Amino acid sequence: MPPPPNANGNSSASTLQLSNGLMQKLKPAKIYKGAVEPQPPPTPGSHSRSNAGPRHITAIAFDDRGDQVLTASEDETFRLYSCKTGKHLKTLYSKKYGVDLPRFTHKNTTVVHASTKEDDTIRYHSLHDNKYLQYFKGHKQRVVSLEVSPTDDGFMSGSLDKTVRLWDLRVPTCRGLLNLPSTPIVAYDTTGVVFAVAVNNYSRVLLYDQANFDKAPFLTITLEDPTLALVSYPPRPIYMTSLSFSSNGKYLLVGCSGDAHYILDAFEGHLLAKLEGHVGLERRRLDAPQSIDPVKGSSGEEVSWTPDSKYVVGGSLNGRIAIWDMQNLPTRSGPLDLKVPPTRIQPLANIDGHPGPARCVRFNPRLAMMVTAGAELAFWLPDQSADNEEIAKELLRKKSS
Amino acid sequence: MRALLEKVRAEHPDTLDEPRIKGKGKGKETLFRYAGEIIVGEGEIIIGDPRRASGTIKRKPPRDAFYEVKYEYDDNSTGPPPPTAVLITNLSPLTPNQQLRRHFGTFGNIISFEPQIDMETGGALGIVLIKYHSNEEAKRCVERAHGKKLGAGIGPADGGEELKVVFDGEGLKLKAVLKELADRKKREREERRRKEKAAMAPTPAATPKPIPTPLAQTLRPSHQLPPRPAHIPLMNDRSEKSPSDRHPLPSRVKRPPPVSERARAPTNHRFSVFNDLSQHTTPSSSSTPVHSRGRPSHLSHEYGPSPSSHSRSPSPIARRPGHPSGRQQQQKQSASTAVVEALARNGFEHVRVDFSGGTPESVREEDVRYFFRDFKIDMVLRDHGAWYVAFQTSDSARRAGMVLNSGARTLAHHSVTVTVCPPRLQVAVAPTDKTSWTEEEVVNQAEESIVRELKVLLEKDITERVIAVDIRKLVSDEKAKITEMKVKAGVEVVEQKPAEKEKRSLKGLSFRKPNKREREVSTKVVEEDEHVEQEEEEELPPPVEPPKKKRKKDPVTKTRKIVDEDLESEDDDTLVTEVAPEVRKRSVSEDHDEDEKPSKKKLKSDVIIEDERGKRISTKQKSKKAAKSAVHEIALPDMDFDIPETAQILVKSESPPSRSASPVQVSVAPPDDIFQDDEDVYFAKLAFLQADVPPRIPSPVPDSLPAFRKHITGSARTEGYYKISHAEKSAYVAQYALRSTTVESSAPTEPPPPQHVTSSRSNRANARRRAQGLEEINQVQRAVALSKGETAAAELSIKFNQLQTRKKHLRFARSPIHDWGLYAMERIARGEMVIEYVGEIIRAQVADKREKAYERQGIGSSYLFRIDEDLVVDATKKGNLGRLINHSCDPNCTAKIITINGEKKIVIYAKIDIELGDEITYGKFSLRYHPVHFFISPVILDYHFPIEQDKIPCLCGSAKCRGYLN
Repeated sequence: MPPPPNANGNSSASTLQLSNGLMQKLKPAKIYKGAVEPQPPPTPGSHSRSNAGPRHITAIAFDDRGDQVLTASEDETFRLYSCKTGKHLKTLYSKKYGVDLPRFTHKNTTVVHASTKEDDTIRYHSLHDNKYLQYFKGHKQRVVSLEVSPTDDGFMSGSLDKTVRLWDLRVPTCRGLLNLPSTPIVAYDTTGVVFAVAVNNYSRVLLYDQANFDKAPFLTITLEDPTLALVSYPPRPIYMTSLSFSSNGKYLLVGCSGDAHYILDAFEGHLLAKLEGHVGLERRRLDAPQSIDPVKGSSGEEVSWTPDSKYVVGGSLNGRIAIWDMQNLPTRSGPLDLKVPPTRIQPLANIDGHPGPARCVRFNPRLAMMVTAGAELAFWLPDQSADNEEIAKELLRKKSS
Repeated sequence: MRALLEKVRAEHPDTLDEPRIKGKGKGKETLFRYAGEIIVGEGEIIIGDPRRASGTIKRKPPRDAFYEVKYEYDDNSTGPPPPTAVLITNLSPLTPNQQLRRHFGTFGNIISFEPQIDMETGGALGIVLIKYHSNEEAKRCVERAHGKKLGAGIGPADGGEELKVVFDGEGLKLKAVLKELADRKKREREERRRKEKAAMAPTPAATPKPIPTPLAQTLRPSHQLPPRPAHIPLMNDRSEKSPSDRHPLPSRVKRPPPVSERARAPTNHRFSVFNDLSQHTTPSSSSTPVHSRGRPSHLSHEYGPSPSSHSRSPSPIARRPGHPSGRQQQQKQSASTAVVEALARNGFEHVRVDFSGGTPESVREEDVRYFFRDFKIDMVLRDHGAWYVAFQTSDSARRAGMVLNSGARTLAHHSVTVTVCPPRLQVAVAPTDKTSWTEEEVVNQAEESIVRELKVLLEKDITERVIAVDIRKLVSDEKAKITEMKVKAGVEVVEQKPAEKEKRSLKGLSFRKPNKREREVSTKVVEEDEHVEQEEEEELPPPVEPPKKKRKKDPVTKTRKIVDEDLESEDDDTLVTEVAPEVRKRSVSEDHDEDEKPSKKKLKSDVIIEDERGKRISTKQKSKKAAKSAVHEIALPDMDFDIPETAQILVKSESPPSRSASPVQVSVAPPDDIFQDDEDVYFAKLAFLQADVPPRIPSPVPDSLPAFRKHITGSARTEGYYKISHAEKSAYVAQYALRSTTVESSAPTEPPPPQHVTSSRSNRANARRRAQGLEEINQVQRAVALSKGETAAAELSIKFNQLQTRKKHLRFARSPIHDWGLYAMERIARGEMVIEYVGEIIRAQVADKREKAYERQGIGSSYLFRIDEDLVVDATKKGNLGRLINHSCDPNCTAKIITINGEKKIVIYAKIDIELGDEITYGKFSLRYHPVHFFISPVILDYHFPIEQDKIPCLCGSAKCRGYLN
């Protein structure tokens, strides 16, 4: 734990490369127990959600530089934290509209976020003066997926009203509309020219050309996991809750509410790997019964790539944080064969994390730190302190020489 | 865009199902496109993967390197707080402690300074663990000292190597380093043994000096001992002040450097010759436990048995057959060990009674029993120093200490000091203890017996010196003689030793060192005469210490003091036997080993024989010298002739018998220059470490104190307001320290069988009060009789009489619960009235006003006691002792509201039998928020604790404590 002797501030910040050893040594450096306001005691008249447990942070987002992280929680607050200093910067309330899925735009003081109350408008909010800059009206039902284009001011939202809307921050009306047969989940490729839409119930992932999305998708991937049939028959359907391209654009991570996530080849659509070893967030608590039909549950933000595409970090209902090594994924070529079972990948490390579910797990885009959230927020840093015995040997080696 | 709109308009008039242009007015139109429909002029859309279109997309290479971040430590941080301790290695083992301390003290406020010593040789390892007050200081230390050499003035002339300074917040690195060292040593040793065995087998005669007797072994390494004293952890940090510079290590420099390899090489060599020895010693050293923390416990464990078996009880003089003082001492020893055993059997806390003017012989056991008549005495014991009283219940000792220390009673016309001592068996349970229990117990018992013996020795000294007060003068007169004698003795010793050597046909014994030592001594004696005066001056004014130390429990520190002084004198003895310290040390490890491997008994006895021989040498030396100074010896029976008298004189100057009951400041570690050389200091400190352990339990020892606040402004007065936590306070306020003990003791206490006790004392007290109150009662009676009828007067007189006369003998004192508390000074039976809660009777509205006013004025304690809905007794400004009664969750009293002649009175009644010295407590509860209880319970105390505020912690310490007042 001792900082190097010349560690004076961030000016001489050294860089780290993520490696298996480093990822295994991730340790929570900060835990914010009070990151969510506790639920007020129930008043006799109101009947609140029963057995919901403590309120959670539902989504987190980093700004482009990774300096700040913003959390949205069920207490209808935004909380802004500095990733560099580990300090809580600001709490903003949105009691009127509620907050979900905050996403930084390319300016680190403005966010777009979905609402949980009033209506399903997407709101463009300025953090530094706590004002709404723009409302993006259009969705008729709850927005479940919201992504900002990595290259420009466009953003995209998927909603329970079975539409995907494409927006531009400068225009209050939507730029494009995609009608789909089921709830869509959206994701941008890192280049911003391609986006993917996952359609639940049909187990399809559609890849669109950003410029010509009103035409048919150029690639339709069927996500079918033959190994599920080994568990139960008929196999429990996959419920996709998140979708993200790896930063090198090669892979597509499909986060599911069940006990497995999937890695797809982003170009061909091969099912490459199945990430196992965690408990899906389909339920809110471990002791809650599982529903018959797969649902979203509290899933959606719990799995993400590290920015170097080497690892996938994911949360679990039991609070653990799983780290999957993605450096030696199998390569598949040739025609698609849906019967080929994916490579099952067990986590490289399954670190003890939150007492409750770990709902949000994100790796900082620029700093060597990870943020996880559930009922509390945690900042993780790789434990740099060398082994005490090694230090001892080092100390004595020089001494004797 | 405009052109496009126009074009679309021209192409598709609004006849279509869905207009492609919505909105009216310039700039407000929206152009729609459905399903990739194209219009004239637009290119055909080909659906394809844009990523595969070559060259069109430049993908940023994904980030590979991440910036490292570090967070400051705050409330949200996990893990240990930033390290305040640094581990310093690469120190030259020769650097004296004081200089190190001074050097590293420049970086900040040192809280603890723990030089590490080799567990086998006792030599310094050149490793120090320093704990600073804050992380900043530690950081500063690491920044400035890492990789630097110690300054020119510090350390030996060669300058040493570059220091390595690392953070070591939890001492884990130190542990690892020690372990590594031990491993390394073990490996080395094994290797060497293997090598030597190989070398030895063909040519056993080729060894340069094969030493046939163990004595040689034992003597030889003694003068190769490294200068450990500088690296012994100081329990009391007084070394800054100690003027070690005055002896700028002339003796140390002359000593051979502690090259442990060199020292060990021949030893191992010999081990290989003596197979049994090597077998034994090697495993013992390899199994040396590596402790990084809890040094005292460790040391006591390691060295604990040694003094008891060698240096202490068989003191050279006591050994001499037929020596009068030796016999006497043995008797006393047996008496005190009997006392210790008896007390240990009792198991509870006991009380030690010290007489302020020495222990008079006239005091009999009956007197002592009478003195403690109000408590359930289990047994009364005495040794020549003090009386010990053990009790049948666990908390009696505490209560007795509380009641009897007030000085009201005299024991057979002597004023006495009553000291509560912790239970015998539970002493010295070291918190950071890593050895197994059985071992620890053995060590503890050894320790205790040592301490006890030491006390005995000192007390004997004192009594003898009471008789011979002018001994000091005598000593100084004798000085000259002694110096002469010493020179002679030195010569004689030199002569004697070769003789012995021949007798035992030793080979390879070099007496160069002892010779040198003797010479040093003889030259020094002259110096010492000058030093004597200086040191007296130094010792008499209280050493620079924080004032809070003085406020500590005097009797306890006093006993420690005694022990310490005694140790000083004992250490002088060790100088003699020091000729064979290696023997002792080995036998220590033997003892230690014996616990682990009882099968090695035979080996052990061997070593003991060696030891005896070593001893015999020293005694012989002494007998020669003793013959020359018979006068001197009678005066100071356990004084040693080999040393200058500094330590002895120190004892006398510091502890005149008349002072025994008065507070004596704590000065555990003597200045280094009392001791003649490093080894003395080393053994002295070893002894201190042991001696420290038992008295530490009753009162917190300075070094275990939490860090005191460092005043930024330099003075507490200019610091402004700040809060001192209870933990900090408990370090120096006795009542807070008591709190922890009450918590412990209250848990196992069982309620005594209910019995109505009316002591003669309480009867007398009642009678006295009755007589006192009679006069005014009569007046009241008369007045009432005049105004009302005869019957009313009779009734009133009874009631009033009751209230006045039934009041018990109480006393207020500082309480562990809250500021002041009320203590019973007599036994109160269950159901008896304790005291009336007296105060101004005011209306509730007034009480509300007043309460606010009091809060404004900063009167933190609430003395408002509600009688009924509209009347409150306010005892804030006017009242009696009743207002001081504290809250407890397990109270021994209840408050009742009784009506006397239409007036409601609050009277406190005993709920259970209250023993002498118990604090009187009752359960207050806030009824403002429990309106239901308002009419049910007769007691309505209005403690205004707003429920929405922070919980007010309850400090009653009872087993049933709810934790909060509200």
